[in-house]
Amino acid sequence: MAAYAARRLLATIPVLFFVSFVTFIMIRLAPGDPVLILLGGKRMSPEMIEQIRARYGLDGDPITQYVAWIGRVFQGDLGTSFKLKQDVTDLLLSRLPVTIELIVLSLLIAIAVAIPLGVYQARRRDRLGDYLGSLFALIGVSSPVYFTAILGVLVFSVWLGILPTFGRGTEGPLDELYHLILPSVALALGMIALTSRMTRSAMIEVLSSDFIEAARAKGLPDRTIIVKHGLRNALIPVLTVTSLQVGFLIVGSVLVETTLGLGGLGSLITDAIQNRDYPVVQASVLLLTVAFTLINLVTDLLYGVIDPRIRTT
Amino acid sequence: MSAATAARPSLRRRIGAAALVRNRAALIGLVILIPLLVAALVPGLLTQADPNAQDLTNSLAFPTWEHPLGTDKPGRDVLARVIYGAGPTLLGALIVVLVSGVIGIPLGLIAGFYGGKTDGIITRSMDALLAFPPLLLAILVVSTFGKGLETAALALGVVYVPAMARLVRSVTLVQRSQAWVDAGRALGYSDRRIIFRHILPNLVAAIVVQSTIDLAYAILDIAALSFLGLGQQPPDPDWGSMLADGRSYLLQNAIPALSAGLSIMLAVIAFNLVGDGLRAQLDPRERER
Amino acid sequence: MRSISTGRRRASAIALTAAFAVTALAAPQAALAQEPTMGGSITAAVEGEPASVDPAFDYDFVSGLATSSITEPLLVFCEGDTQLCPNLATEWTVSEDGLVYTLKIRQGVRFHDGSEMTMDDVLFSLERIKNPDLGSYVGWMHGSVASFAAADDETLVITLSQPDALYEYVLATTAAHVVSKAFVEEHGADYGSPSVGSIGTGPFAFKEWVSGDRQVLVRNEDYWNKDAGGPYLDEIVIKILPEPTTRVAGLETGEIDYLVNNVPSDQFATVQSFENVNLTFTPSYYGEWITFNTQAAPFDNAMVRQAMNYALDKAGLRALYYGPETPATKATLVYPTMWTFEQEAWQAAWDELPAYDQDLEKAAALLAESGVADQLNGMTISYYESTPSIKGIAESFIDVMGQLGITIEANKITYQESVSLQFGPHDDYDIFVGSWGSDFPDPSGNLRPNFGSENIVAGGANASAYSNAKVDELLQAQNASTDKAERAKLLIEAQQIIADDSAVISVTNPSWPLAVNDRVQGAAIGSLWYWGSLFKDVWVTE
Repeated sequence: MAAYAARRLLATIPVLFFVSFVTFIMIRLAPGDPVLILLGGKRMSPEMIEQIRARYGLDGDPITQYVAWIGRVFQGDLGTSFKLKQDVTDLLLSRLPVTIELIVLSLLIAIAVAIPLGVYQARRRDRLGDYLGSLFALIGVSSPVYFTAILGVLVFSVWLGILPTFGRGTEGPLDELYHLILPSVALALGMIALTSRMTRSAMIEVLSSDFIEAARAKGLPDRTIIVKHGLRNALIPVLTVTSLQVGFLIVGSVLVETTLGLGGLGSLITDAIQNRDYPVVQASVLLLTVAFTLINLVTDLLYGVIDPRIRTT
Repeated sequence: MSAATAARPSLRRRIGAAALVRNRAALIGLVILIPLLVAALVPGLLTQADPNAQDLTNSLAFPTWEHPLGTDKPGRDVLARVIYGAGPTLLGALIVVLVSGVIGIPLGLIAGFYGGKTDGIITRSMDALLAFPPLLLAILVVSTFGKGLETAALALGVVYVPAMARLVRSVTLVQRSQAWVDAGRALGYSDRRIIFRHILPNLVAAIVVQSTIDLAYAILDIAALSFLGLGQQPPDPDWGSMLADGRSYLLQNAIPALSAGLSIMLAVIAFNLVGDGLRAQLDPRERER
Repeated sequence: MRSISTGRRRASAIALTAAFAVTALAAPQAALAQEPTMGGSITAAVEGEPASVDPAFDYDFVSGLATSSITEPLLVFCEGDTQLCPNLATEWTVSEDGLVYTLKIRQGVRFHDGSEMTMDDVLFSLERIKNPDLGSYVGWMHGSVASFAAADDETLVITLSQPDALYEYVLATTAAHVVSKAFVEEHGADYGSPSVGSIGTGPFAFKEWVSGDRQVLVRNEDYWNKDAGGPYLDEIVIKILPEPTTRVAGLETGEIDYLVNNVPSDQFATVQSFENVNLTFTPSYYGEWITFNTQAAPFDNAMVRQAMNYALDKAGLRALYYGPETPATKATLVYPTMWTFEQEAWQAAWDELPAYDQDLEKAAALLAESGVADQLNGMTISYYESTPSIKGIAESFIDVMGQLGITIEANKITYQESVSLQFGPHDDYDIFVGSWGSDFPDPSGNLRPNFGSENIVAGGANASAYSNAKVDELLQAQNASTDKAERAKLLIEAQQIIADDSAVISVTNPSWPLAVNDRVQGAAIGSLWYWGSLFKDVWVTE
């Protein structure tokens, strides 16, 4: 088990290099000169422009720049943002909590809704409840995440006034949570469809299997059967589907938080790409890739824990 | 009556009945799709208005006979823009799926059929591609190579490749392990013949289903890129950018934004329904629906 | 949030009733004459992350709300931002030849950490900005300076290498903010960043800055200038909200009290309908325009340029995006708001200037006459959607040219690309929708940077690549002159040539919107609000 984990971890390293290199090259191929934006675009002599170019390590060919950047990364230095004059590590750290809170909260909401929904649908198979559940999930997944967010603001904040319109909330963790309700629900809606459907089909399959028959014959109450035996076995496909959705969550969080002004990683990245803020783009993509691969790794390991049959590769 | 006793005897009937309903759902999907496709292919058939004609004095008007969905900020007819916006959105999604298919299917076939090192390399590359949070890669590519529907769709297509490749690979693997494949090779059949004449046809069902579902997600992603300003360039309409435009005027007149958002939703729902229906029909093993 | 009068309320009920009875008839008047009260907090919002609270990097519309409340310049703009008034410098004189500026520095001023502001700090601050190693966004403003020196502890002497009619104004910008030498040296490269912040002599002190979320300032109890009674507020929160709709929604719910400039122009009517919000407009030196690469065909043909000007419905666009009350424009970038001297001369000139009101027939005729209309086909119009109006202007341009039978392609660019375009080598685009606002209350601020040929090279703002020897001569002469009447004459002549050449299509001159919640009093801005301290005289009523 540990060996497997170690091997997987090792395998991610070349991937990280690949991803960061591709990003590095691509963003530098993008038209536009970051030095001009650094200067705010005002009266600089060509000499000054060259000076600044050198200071920010923007002279020399891309390969040299990349190697230099890698070197600095290994020393823990992610550079300074061109536009915002802040240390990139600090920038990332300050924006990370919001994004993490948003993603975790959305995940929790999605799971809390999707799994019971899936179970409910499995039990009410082919009856009205089943179809209504599917309809709800379908609408949820079909609405663009930013559209849902905007509608949410319109209905719940402006017309009904029961939710705050924007921002993080400044009065402690409870207030922050309050501000995260709208964005995380908007994000969760997109996830529910797949997760509930997976739960539903997994449950259906499990519920009609032999050992469940046996449990019933033994006289165990339905609830125990469903939760203790049924659900546990259904968890594997659910886990699969959830980990697949992490990509969706990360992407969706970018869209939602820019729409609702949450000041997280997403808006940082989109702004940085638009502004050709190389250090921020590099570091953010690296961070996201690491997160992504780690989550996939953890999911794989969890499989091993849940289902002993999968322990070997 | 417990679920178990109810399930057993009528399982057969349930499958039959469910398939019919699935079909009904798929039918609904098709019914929604038809006007969308007409709008995409021959928009002029559905409206006389020019989607780009401005009228600065008739800004953000509510619906009238002349403008059934009202007008947007520079006075353009919203209905016309929704109709003309179908084409770019659907076309973009189509390109995405085509690209992912053209690249992903051969990769998956080769990986699944030949296995070994080739498989290793291909799978590792797919993993590397998958390591990129999807939309982010598309944003980077578009920022580098220029905005526009084609670039956005191409970039997104590349992002969708791993999913398609993986699917094809796993089905191929199953097929490959069947005894008759080795028998065929022993008989001297060329690999190409085996792949094209025997394995590929078995893949069609899975590919069709996956593509339809992918179309649904591609519509959402294309719209998202347009929403961020990276897709269709102005002033030609497409649903994502219409949503972005209309967003600023929600408090004055929400109809332009709502029309665009609802259109996206309808298209996505339609493709989802059709995809589900196809899956139920074409893949009899998929009993759990 | 205590009101000064709470203590007195119980005391004289009878007296109050009597007073009430007496003043009952004059009630509305009495209600208005309120005294500012100490305390309270307001929440403002900006549309993007501030670059820094280091004044060296404050050259945008979002950094100044915090920066200009924390540190202060030697002089300030006053009288609606048309004149200069003393601030950290109590008086100043300019020598006859315009080369030597002598300023008396105010004594007894303290920084937020209690240390005293000395001549050392003043010299340090100015040298630092001028130093190219820092890469300050406003360093170029000291371009004509030969030296900064101290004649004595109270007297600062600035010597220029050549006369510069605009240098006086520089002393009221962030280029002349006085920072604490000790503090800056202690924090080095971190100075001005969210973790460190800044200290200054201003009415408010830096408390915290949560990147991506908000900045918080608190009152400076020992502020040197309490003549007007302020500062009153306990605390100012500046939230960072990129989404225009969320800012407007915030105004409605009361979560936002104060918005300057970033009220989306297409929602003015909505904001005006909010009962608890007050929306006012202040004239600006800023405008949006379309320009073309005047050195490339067919834009080098004056008839083509004039035709394009006649094609666009500028009045319609102004009304649509800024409301019917917004100032009209004519074929110049010197807006009526900028006539800070010799008003009659400017007014007379304005009356003569062409307005190029939309006339599609005339446009078509001019195009035909030019003979090169077909070269226009397929040209691109580049623009960055910084405001809905810029987007609207570009799309409208495409539409009207389409009506003339000419296809123009849209090229939506990023902010970065637009900066490169506007300040780069100016040779790689066709048509560009841009904006520009003068940094100074002086008409030359909108002429020289944009039309002087020395500004065509990279780093300059001459986006039209306009080069006219006579205009250059006039612009340089006026800058070297110190006689206002003479300067007006030279500038007016230059303006006329540029207008006849139709080097630029001037579309809008939107006034600055200021939206405040009814509880906010004393909020007012001038035309150059981005250089000023906005919150000193602001107080709240509950």
